[in-house]
Amino acid sequence: MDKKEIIFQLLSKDGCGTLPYEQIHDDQNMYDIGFDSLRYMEFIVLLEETLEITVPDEMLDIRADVTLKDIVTMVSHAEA
Amino acid sequence: MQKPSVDIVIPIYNQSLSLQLTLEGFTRQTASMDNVNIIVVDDGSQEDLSHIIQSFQSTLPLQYFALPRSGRAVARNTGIEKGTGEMLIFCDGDRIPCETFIEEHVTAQTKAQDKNQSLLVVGQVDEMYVSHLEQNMDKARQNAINQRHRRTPQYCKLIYNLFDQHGNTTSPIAWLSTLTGNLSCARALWENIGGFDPLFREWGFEHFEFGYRAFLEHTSFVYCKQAINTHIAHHRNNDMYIQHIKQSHAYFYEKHATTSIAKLLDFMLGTLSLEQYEELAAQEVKHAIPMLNPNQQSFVRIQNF
Repeated sequence: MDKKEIIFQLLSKDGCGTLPYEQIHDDQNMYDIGFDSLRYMEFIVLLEETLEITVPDEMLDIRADVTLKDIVTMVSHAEA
Repeated sequence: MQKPSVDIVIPIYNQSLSLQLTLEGFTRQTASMDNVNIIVVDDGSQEDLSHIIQSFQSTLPLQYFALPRSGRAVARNTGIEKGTGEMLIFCDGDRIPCETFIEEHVTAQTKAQDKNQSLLVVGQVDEMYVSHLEQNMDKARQNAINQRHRRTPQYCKLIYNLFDQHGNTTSPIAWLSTLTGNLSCARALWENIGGFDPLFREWGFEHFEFGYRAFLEHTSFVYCKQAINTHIAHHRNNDMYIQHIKQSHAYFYEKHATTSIAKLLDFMLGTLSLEQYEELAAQEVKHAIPMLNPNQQSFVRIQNF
């Protein structure tokens, strides 16, 4: 499973999200897929534990102008 | 040296489910509870907390006082005034203490007592994020017991850098670590400093101002990373926190018109780095030595902590 698939799985009902995996897409933002600030941080913790990375501070705020594609890109650059 | 008697002061406003988990955490302590008194101060909650309190009356040395809504400073002062313990541990009502929480604070304070040292012990704050807590109480409970699915909040992570590997600091801004969700001091220190200022009624800064007064009196700050409690995070409205920060800062500066306090707002709003702030404060505070590398730049990103 590649990194994007892992991230989308964590964002889905299989992780800490509210939608099935099939309904998660690149061009959506976190609010589109039913996240709020609290659920977003739950996702950040899962992400750090699953990928054994430290999410950069710049990513700690849930933002409407950041798409899921952007998140995958940011995670790819995050340090272990 | 005999262990000091301890008052654990827990201010609470609503958040009955979090209080339940916090008190459960105190039933799992490694320390003997013989000399311990837990004082819960209800700061005008609309939620009925009495059933939670009643359910722990037989297992914890618990006292409960209800106030009209007065703010966290008044709630903490009231809790302290109701107790007699030589040592005070502050733990908010939405912070689950780890099993050694009391033991770690008591050990750190006892060492200070032996050296006749005035000390504020800063515990380690972690945070867990659980949506719909009412449906996920057991998940939150297991996260706390097994110490998993949590992270250190961004502000706390920044501030812990002010301490060396042994938990000591000489920083001119050491008082920025005065986070009363997880803190301990001697009752005598609280009395000498004059307690928390009750005029801080909104969220924020009554803890910093208390720490700042302690710092001006040459109190030492020690970071004890084993004294962990885990904040059960809740929904946040960052705009509201920023508004409260500005209001609280205005009053803080009115009381202490120094460069350190003037620049605090810029630091808290993320426009001045921790390193720049420490350098500025060092010019004013002669009894302190900076701890940070001035070539680095770390900024506050999240104001709700």
